[in-house]
Amino acid sequence: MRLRFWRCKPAPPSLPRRARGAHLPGRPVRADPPASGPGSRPRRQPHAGSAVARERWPRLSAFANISVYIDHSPNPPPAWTCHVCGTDWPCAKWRTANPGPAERKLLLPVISGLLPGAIRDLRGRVDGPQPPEIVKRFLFFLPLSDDEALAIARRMR
Amino acid sequence: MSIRRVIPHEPTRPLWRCRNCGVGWPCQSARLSLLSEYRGDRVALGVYLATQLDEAQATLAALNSGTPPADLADRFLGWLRAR
Repeated sequence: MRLRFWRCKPAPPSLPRRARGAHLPGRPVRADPPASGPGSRPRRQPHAGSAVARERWPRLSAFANISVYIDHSPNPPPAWTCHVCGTDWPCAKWRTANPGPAERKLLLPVISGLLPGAIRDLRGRVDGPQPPEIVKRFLFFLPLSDDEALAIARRMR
Repeated sequence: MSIRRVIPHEPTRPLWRCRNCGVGWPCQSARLSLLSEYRGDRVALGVYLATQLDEAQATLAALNSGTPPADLADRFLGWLRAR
């Protein structure tokens, strides 16, 4: 038997342990690729924003809106519409969620990873948004001026 | 015949190494299974990985006198692309 020298002691009960195979208490269960249109995904389990999950995952309580971020995710590119509301993503739920400092830190790498693909998909449509407008739309939680949005759009495309 | 226990590719706390392979989590196998698990839902996967990154930064900083490793964000989120 190989010696697993990196095996560490089991975490103390205060640390959140997840069940085997369950990454988040409310991880999205998606059996097959969704058809377009709102409400086409299967109903999800109680999400990480629920009281039980908050108790089991103490650090998650810093992210009050995490259930919105997980549930109202965009349809697969190139649509970039919310799969629940059907409107342009980020939808009104995201925009009114008003992320705090911890959530901004959480969202910034996630959304900036999406930006190059979004700019590639959305620019050049008839009457579609220009790249700086796309940047402002996706990074809605940052107070960006026009010049800053343009600079970000140039780096991201 | 011996029965081998299947060890999942999940993070060990507080070191954040893969329970199966021992490299820094997420290892390649964990990335593959995460991608299939969150198929077509990169935002939820990104949010999940960002929460894990936040927790890893906190625990590893506590082990390393207040400063988390510099390449953590790259390890957790850098491999994730929009397409």
